Amino acid sequence: MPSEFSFPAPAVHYFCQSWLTCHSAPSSAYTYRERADFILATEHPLSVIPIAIRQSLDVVITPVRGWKGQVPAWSGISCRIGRVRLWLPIQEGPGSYRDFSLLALLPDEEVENASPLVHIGTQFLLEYQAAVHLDCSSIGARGTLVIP
Amino acid sequence: MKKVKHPPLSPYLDERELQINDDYEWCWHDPEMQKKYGGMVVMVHKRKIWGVGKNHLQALNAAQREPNCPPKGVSAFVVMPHYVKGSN
Repeated sequence: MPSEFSFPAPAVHYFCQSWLTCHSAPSSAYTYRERADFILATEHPLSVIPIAIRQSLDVVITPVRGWKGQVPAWSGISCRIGRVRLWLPIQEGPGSYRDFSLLALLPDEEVENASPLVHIGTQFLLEYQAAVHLDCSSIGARGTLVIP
Repeated sequence: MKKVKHPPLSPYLDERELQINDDYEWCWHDPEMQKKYGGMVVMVHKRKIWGVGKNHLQALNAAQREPNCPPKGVSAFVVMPHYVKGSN
């Protein structure tokens, strides 16, 4: 879904409803989903989960084995890397969700003036062979994310 | 470090998650909320705004200063869109 900016010229960024698997309580084996919509950020190769989301929602993060080389920084902030479980609504099955393992940069600090949303980069789209269609024929037109 | 095995989650939202979703959708689409909180993150539970901040953590911290703040895990954190006249 597009979210309009309050600019003199029409401009939008694209959100998608998404959920992250989170701990029900600290160190608990029980989990639930918390809604954390993402912003489509094709300018970024890797997805990003801001620290404020990770800390406030207690997101379940699993380490990435075999990551070779240095973890890239994000907007000058050093990062760790990990995987989280991302849940997306299924268009064909109303009310049902599919989960994905999302590789993401985990910045050590908040980035000044950065969007507080999860950023989805091109690595996720490539990993799941996703097709992105954006309809810019009008300001309220929606896009679709098709994942086989 | 002991590895914790998490029981799998259903593809369908449970009651708690449905409440979170209801709060999220209400807040995100409400023009009055957009006018008041556009560009901010709000913590909302049962259609009541508990905390507001520039990010999720600031919203949570603000909420936790309020008496009777609901516990973590039952509230929605909404990144509010800016209000744009005629877009609702």
